[in-house]
Amino acid sequence: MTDIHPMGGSQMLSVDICVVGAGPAGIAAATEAAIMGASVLVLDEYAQPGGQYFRRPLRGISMAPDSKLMEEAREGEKRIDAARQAGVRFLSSTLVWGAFADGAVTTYSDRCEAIQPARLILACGAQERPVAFPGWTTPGVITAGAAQALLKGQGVMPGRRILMAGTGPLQIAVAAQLVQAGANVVGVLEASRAGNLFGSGHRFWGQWGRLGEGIQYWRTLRAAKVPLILGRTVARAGGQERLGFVTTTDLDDDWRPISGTESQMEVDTLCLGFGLLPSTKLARLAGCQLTFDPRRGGWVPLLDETMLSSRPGVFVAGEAAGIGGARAAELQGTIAGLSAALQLCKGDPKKAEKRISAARKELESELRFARSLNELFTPKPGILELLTEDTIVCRCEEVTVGQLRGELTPWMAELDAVRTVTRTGMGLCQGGVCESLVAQFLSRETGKPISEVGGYRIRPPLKPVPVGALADLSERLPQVAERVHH
Amino acid sequence: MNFDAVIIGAGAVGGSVAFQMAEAGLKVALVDRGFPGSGTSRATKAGIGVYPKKPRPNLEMNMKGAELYPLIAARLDREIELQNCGVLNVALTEEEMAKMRAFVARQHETPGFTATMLSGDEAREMEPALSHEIVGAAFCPLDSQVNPLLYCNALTRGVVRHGGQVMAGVEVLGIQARGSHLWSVATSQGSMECRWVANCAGAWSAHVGKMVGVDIPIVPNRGHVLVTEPIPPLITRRISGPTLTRQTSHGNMLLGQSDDLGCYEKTENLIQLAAQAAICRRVLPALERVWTIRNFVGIRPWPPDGLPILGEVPELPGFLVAVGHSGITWSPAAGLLLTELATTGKPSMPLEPYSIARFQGGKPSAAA
Repeated sequence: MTDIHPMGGSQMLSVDICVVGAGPAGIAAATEAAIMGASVLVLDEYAQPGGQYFRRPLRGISMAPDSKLMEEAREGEKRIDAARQAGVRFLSSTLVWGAFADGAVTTYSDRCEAIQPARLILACGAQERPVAFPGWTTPGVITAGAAQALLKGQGVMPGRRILMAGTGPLQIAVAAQLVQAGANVVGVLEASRAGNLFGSGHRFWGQWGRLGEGIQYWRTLRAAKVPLILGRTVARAGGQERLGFVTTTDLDDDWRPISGTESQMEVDTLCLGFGLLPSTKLARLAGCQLTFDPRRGGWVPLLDETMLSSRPGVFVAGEAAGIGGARAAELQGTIAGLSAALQLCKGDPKKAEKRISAARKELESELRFARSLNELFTPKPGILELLTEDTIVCRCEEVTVGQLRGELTPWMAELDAVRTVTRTGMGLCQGGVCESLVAQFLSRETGKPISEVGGYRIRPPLKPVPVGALADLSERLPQVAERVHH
Repeated sequence: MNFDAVIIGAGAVGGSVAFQMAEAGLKVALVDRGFPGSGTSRATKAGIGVYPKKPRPNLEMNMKGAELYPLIAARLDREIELQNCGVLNVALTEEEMAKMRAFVARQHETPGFTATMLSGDEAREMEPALSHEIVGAAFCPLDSQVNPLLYCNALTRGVVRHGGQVMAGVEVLGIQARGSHLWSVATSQGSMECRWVANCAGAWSAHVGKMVGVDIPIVPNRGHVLVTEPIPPLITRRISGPTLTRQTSHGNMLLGQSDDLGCYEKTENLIQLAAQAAICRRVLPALERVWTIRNFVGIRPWPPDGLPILGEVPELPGFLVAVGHSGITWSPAAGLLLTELATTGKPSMPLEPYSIARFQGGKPSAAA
C-alpha cells in the first residue's frame, strides 16, 4: 500500500516530482511522470485522492455501487489504481501551505514538514465564482460544488426544496445529479438570455460528444419536470434563522436586473452555480507570473506549451491553469508530468514527445470548447446592481458594500489598498471568496478594467496552520542567527 | 505645479509630515510610488516603542512621538486603534533579568522615562497568559500600539482635508536644486516646484538621497511578522524581550521579531517564521493551538547607529530628511519638527543629534 497516513518525515527525504492536488490533472501528471521513472509524491488536502471531479464517498458512507453518483468515482478509482501501480505515493489530508524562494514546499497534516522537490506540479483545481446579493450569507444558501460534495462525498441531500441559480453547464449537471438522487429541485435559473445561447450555436460545431452530455442532463431535468428558466436569477434571499424564501428577477443582455419582474418563492435551499475560477494562490505564492484571460476564468498562470510557469521548475496543470473541464485537465496533467520528467532526464524522450504531441492536439480542441462555453456563461457586470449598501462582500470580516464605498478614495485604486483599510481579505479564508467580488466592485467604482485592479498579496500560510505545528518544525530546521540588537 | 513642500513617501513618517505641514497652512504634495502605507508601514507590528530606545537622543525622540500620538489621533477623521497599553519586557533567565535591571536603571537617567521591575509572579498577575518560565519583567507604561494601515490612511485623508494633494502610484524620478529653497521634482506624472522637499522614503530613502547627491547610510533590515486568527483577549500589553508580540483591536495576535540585515527581498525565510512561532509559543503557551493565517514581511530602514536621521541637510537648504527604524513611533514628532523647520524655523527639540551631518559630514557629493 503506497498511501501514507500520517506523514513520517524520513519518508520524504528526496523526491523528484511533487504534485499538489489529486484531481484529474494531478493524477494524470503523477502517473505519466512515474511511468517515466521519476519518484513522485502527490500531496492532497482531501481525505482521499480524486479531488472534486472524482470525489468518492468518505469512509463509512455507503452508497449503492451502481448509483449514478458513483460514475465519476469509479472512473477515478481506475486512474488512482493505475497511478499507484506506477509507483506514485499519495499523501492525503495534507495541506500545502507554503512555497518558498529556495524551492522548499511546506505541508501540514498532523505536523509540519518541508520538502525540496526537484520539480513541482501545481494541480490545485478551481474554486467557485462567488456572486453576491442581499442575503447570500443566509444559512441554506450553498454552492453547486458544495451540493455535489454533500451528495457524492457524504450521501447527504442538501435540502428539501432546492432552487438552482447560476449560469453554465455545471449547474445543469449538478441539478441533474440532485434530481437523480431524488431531490426536489423546484427550478433551475440560467442567467444568460435565450438569444445569447441560441445565437452562439455555431461555436459548438464539431463538439457533438460534449453537447451530448449536456443534452443528457437537460433530458433528466425535463423528465422530472424541473423548469429551466432563461434570463433570470436570484435577487434576494431571506428567512428567519435560515433560508425561507428567495426573490428572483429577470436580467437583460448585460445581466442588469429588470425592474418590475421580481417574484418570490419559498425554498429552504438555494444552490448557486455561477461557474469556476482557477485556484491560483499557490502559483502566486510560488512566484508564478499571471495573465488575465477572461475566457479561462480570469487570472491564470503564464505557461509555455509544456505547462511550465514563469518560475523555473514549477508547472501548473488542470483547472488551476485556466478553466477548461476535466478532460482538458487530464491532458494538461499528462503534458506537465511528461515534461517535468523529461527535464529530469527520466524516461524515453521520443516516446514522451509523441505522447505530448497527441495530448496537445486533443487539448487544443478541448480548450476551444471551454473558451466558447466560458464566453457564453461568464457573469456580466450588470449583476453588480443586485448589491445594496448592506450586502456583505467580505464574509469573514463582514464588510459591506456601504463600508467599502465609504472608504474609497482616489488612492485606493487597487485591491491591496482597499484591503488594508477595510479589512476585506484579512479573515480566515484570506480573500479566497471576496477577492474576485471586491475586484469587480472596485473595477466598477473606479472605471478601471478588472485586469488592472490587482489582487491581494498572497503570503504563507495559504491556509491556517497552528502556531504549535510551526514551532515544532523549527526544532527540525537549522537555528536562526543571534538577534541584532540596537 | 507649485507647492510649498513635496513629501516623498506616504508611510507613517511622510504622512505625518505632510499632514502637519498641511495643517500649518503649507501647500503640500504627498507622493508615493504605491498607495499610502504600502512600503514598510503596512508590514510592521506597529508597536509605539519607547522602552528599549537608548538614551538620550533616541529615547527622547521616541518618547516625544509616543507623547504626541493621542494629540494627532484626535485631529484625524478616522479611528486608528491607538491604545496606550504599555509594554511588558520579559526575561526567561536570571541573567536576562539582571541585564534588564541595569538597563532600566540607566533609562531612568532620562527625564520622563519610567518603568517598574516585576517578579515573574507579578508579571503573570498582570498578564496571566505568560508562561511560568518567565522569571521577571519590566513594565513600561509609556509604550502604546496603533493600527498602522488605518493611521497612514487617516493621515493621507487629513492631507486632503487641509488642501494638500496626494499623488499615489507616482514615482519620483529626479530632484534638482534651482536655487536656495527652490527645488524641482520630476515624477512619472509631471514636474513640480517647491521650497521644501522631505525625503520620507524609508527603506528606499537612499535612492531618493542619491538624486541630490546625498548619501543616506541606511541598510535594509527584513523582518517577518506572523498573524494569527482573531482570538479572545489573551494579552492587554505588548510583550517584548525574547520576542515581540501584541494583540490587535480585532483580536489577531501579531507574533515575532526577526532581523535580516541587508535584505531587500519581500519574501519569507521559513527558518525565521518557524523560529518566531517557537519563541512566541514559549512565552505564551496558549498559542499552541491558535492558527496562523498569514505573515507579512517588512523592510525596515536601519541606520548604522540606530538613531533617526532627521532635519535639513546642511548645504542643501530646503532638503529635509526623516528616516530611521521605528518610524511608527516617532512619526508624530517628525511631523511636528519638520513643520516647525518649514514655518518658524525653530524646532521645539534640538535636532543636532539627529542630523545627517553626523555621518562623514553628510555633505552632498560634487556630482549631484
